[in-house]
Amino acid sequence: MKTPTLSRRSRCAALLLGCLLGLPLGAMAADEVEIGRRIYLEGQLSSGQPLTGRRFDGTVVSGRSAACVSCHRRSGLGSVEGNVLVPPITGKFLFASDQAPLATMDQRRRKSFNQAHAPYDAPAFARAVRQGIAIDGRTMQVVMPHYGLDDAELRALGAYLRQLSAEWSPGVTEENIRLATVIAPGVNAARRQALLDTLRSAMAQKNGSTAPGRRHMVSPAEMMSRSERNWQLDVWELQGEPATWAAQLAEHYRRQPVFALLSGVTESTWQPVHEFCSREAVPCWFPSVALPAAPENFYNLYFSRGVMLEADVLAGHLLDGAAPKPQRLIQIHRDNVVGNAAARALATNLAGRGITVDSRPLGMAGTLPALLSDIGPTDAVMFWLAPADLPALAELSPGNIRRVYFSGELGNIQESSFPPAWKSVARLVYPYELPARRAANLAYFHTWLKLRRLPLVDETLQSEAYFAVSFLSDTLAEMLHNVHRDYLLERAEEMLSKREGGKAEEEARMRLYLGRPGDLTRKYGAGNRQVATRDLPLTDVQGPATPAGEAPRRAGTTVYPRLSLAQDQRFASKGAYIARFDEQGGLVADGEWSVP
Amino acid sequence: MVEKLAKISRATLLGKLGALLALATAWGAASADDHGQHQHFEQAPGYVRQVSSYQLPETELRRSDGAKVSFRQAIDDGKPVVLNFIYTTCTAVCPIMSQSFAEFRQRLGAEGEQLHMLSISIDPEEDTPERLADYASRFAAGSQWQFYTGSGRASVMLQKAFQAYFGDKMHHRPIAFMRAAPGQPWVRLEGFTTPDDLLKEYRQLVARR
Ligand code: HEC
Ligand SMILES: [Cu+2]
Repeated sequence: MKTPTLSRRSRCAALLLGCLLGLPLGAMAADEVEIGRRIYLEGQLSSGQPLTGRRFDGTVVSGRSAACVSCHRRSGLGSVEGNVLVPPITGKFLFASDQAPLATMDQRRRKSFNQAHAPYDAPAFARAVRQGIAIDGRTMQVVMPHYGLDDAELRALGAYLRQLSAEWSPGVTEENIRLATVIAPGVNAARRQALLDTLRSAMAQKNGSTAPGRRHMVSPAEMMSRSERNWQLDVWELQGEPATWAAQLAEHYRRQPVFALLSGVTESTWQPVHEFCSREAVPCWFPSVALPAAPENFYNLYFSRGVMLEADVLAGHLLDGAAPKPQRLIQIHRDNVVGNAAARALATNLAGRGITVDSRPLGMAGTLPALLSDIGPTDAVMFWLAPADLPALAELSPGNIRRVYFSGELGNIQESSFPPAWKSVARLVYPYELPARRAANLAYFHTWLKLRRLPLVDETLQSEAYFAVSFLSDTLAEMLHNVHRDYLLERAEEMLSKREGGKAEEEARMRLYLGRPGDLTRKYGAGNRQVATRDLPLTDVQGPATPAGEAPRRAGTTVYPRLSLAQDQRFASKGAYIARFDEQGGLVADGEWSVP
Repeated sequence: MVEKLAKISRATLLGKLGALLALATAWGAASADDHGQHQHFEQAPGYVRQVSSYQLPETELRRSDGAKVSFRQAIDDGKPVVLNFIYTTCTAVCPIMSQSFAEFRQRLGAEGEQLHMLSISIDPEEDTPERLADYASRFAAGSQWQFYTGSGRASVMLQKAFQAYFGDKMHHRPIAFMRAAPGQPWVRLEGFTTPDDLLKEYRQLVARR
């Protein structure tokens, strides 16, 4: 992934300072900051040599692996891994005497904070970096390497750290955080409305505006630091051709900068939005898209690789020998951005592997009966179909066709509405949790919909939007006053899987408590609006010890079996099932969850 | 807890309790409302050594060359085994452990001909065989050091069997495991071990065999 360049703003500020002090151009702070940036992010010295560090055990680490960013992170606000706590080292935390703003570190659900310490001066900073001695004289723990940097290099690093995460990101004020959701043209009106209602409702609840006189859920840490902010949501409706979207996005952003893009939806490409987020360093937080854009970028987080993932899983399934290999695979797809990309990906995966791939776009040339007329028993068919195409299929019978695959994501396939005649031959490439378990994962969400009196229009879309709000809320709560975009993404990477596990267990406990799965209404009544979108206080996330060999109890809170991120991981769900219908017409897995 | 401890010899029991106490102090983390007392997150250099017997389950894993292998067969190949848990996108803890493993193997030279090293992914969905192979080459791992992935379930099962499951990959800790031969107890080294620490422990282990 690309490393960030210095923001224009801090460059200007540094330049201005240089001018005011009458420094010659070459000696100006902007250059120092740039030298510091290269050391910090890239592990490269101004001499062009790699940065090298010596570890406690005498081993040497150099270049990118030695760069400060790998532990202290882009934001400079540090990280936690196991029992290793990497402290924040931005200027505010290192050099200032007032270290009031706290970075919180989540150690198994308990809050722990960075230590207040006497401000580092240049010699103390040098001792820390060269010898691993902290400001209080303590020998630092073994993880931090020792670096043989000279005074000028340390000055440059210091200059970089002083401007790093020094100000809140655009879209953030003392009281507010501004967000936007992007809606691409061509999204069906009912889905568009369902998405907006879900987002607005979850946000209103987060803001507490629907419970007058009663305080909504705020984490104790937020309460203490008074860092809880009101959220505002703009809706950016794109129009016309994708080629014009970049300009529209830039114009929206110019008029009203936002901290992040929240959720969002498209039926075709997402590329211009992805590129906008990469360019402007705006987090693009879990949009509902079937075709994520490329290349992967730090600021763009997705639920999964969508149809690209399905193409990989299906190719693996066709080739792994578990089922007889078809001689020919006919792909029927819509002639649009997503359909074409999916078909291309599958064809590429199967090229030269002994299966002839024949891709047939639906459209003027081909109605379903015509496209299926020549298919025989040694062929397999892959349908990259949309829900609207399924009724046409229901009018046909499979006839000679023995093996048919469907895209679970594009088809939005439901057990109840699937054409019955096709059930016995159908296999689904299914990137979601299977319906039975998914119902348990989403029980809480469905109750929430009921309490908010929102109709269920599209379970995947609405639950994804609900998750996007709720996880953003949890992540921001952990960040306190450190409302920086890079930090948001770092915390998301660190938190997602444990938060999912903990939250699922908490919801399960609440359901257990109520006696009947999903039935929160019996306790709270439909009029009560006090259901939190926010993590509830949790105890030990490890839960009671389970005997070795037992499957983990943790599940998710979304349509996906589990979500997880880490540094450089940008797709939270990583696999899919091949599923089929059983005798009762219910979906069951045909083999294990498959991760290509 | 009691049941787990029962498997550990008396001599190591004290060590274990000591370690638990140390952890309890290190992570007696402040709750949100007593942030005023800032506490230290110190980690003493060195490691805690413990001899334990683990009940190892059978499960299928995938090696970084793509082969499907039985865990029990891989680990019970008669050779001395050194094992740890890692994930490839980790940038803080795992690279230190992996580099230490690499140096250890190198310094062992011909002595290590019989050795079998295993690193098992704790982020198996992300760590595909290809990614593991990439990671292995970063540490110049030869054929004696194999990297394994598998289903999420298999990975958790093995972490639990080695009492090295901390609920989430982000909570994992540096631990090295060694065993002289199938049926022998495991030496568990918890903490950051240097290549020399590993050498010393390994030589002790095989000498006793
Ligand atoms: C492999 C991980 C790692 C890398 C790489 C790393 N650090 Fe650290 N750093 C740490 C850890 C862990 C600590 C906390 C040590 C302690 O307090 O015991 C730390 C502490 C510090 C401190 C002291 C902070 C305080 O609050 O007292 C400074 C300053 C620092 N690092 C600067 C740097 C710089 C500059 C670089 C790059 C040249 C760097 N670090 C690279 C892990 C790392
Ligand atoms: Cu790690």
